[in-house]
Amino acid sequence: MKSRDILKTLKEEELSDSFVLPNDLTPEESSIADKELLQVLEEKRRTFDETKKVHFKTLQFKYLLEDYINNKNTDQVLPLNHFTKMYLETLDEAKKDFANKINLKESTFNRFIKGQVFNHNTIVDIVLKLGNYSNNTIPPITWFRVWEKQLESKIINCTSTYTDNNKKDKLVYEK
Amino acid sequence: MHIIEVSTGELIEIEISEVVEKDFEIIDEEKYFFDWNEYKGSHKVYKLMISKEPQILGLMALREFQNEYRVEVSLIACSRENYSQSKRYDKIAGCLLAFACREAIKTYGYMAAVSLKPKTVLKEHYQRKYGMKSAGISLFLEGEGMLNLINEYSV
Repeated sequence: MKSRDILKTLKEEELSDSFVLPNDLTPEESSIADKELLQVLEEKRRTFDETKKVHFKTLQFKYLLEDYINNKNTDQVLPLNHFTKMYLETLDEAKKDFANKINLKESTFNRFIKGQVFNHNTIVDIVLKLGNYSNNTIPPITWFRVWEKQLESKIINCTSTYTDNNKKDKLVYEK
Repeated sequence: MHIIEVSTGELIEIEISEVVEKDFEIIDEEKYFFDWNEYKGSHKVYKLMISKEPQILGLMALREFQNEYRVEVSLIACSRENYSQSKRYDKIAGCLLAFACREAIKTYGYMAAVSLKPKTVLKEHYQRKYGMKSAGISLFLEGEGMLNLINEYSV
């Protein structure tokens, strides 16, 4: 039996369980359906409160981080402080206020944002505080993975420079 | 994200990613019920696979409505081994739909919505199974509805 013909033999429950099927609407009917839907969605969006907006913005940022972490392209590695800056912009938070909210010295947070904090304990502390600030919507481990990717890239780059230098030395020696 | 192996009840870890040109060579109508080439260009097509395994278990075509902050699910199909009472894995379509919610939130934040235009006879089933709301001909998910589905399918 041809695969399309199989669909005709299925019960509604089976169809809805495994498929969303193409509709048979004309372009006009489809356009009317879109307009009806837009009206309903606009009404729903008007009732969204600030707490919900912040939660969705946080989720949006979390998904961006997850996709960045899972992207194997090492040419596009960005540091943890870059993403933290983006996070503040997403939530429309000032650096000073945010440092206070996560109970971190403003000077330490400023240095971190500028990429001038290299102490691992301090970074772990910041990662934990970032996770806590989002009520674990973006867990510390996600922030940690960003940092891990940054370190991994640094090691790969150092290794290739180191290897290249060794090659040069060897070439000179062989001459 | 997980699907369930029906015979054992075991949770199986899956990955969803965008279909690349090479995939279209193995996505045929016989196994995936539709001519997915028709959706190339106008839609983003996603595939669901068990982590580190080559078989595609399900496919989904999404159409973006950027001005409306909305993603429309134009088509979902499980592979031929996974569509009926005798299917090998369960929750494939649900995972794909939950993934559509994730992608919508990633793109549109709190404004995000996911919709579909169902066959009339299937409308109630989708509402019951995925908590979708009705807006005339269309069904949609937004706000809490999307979060519920994302949580249910651990996307």
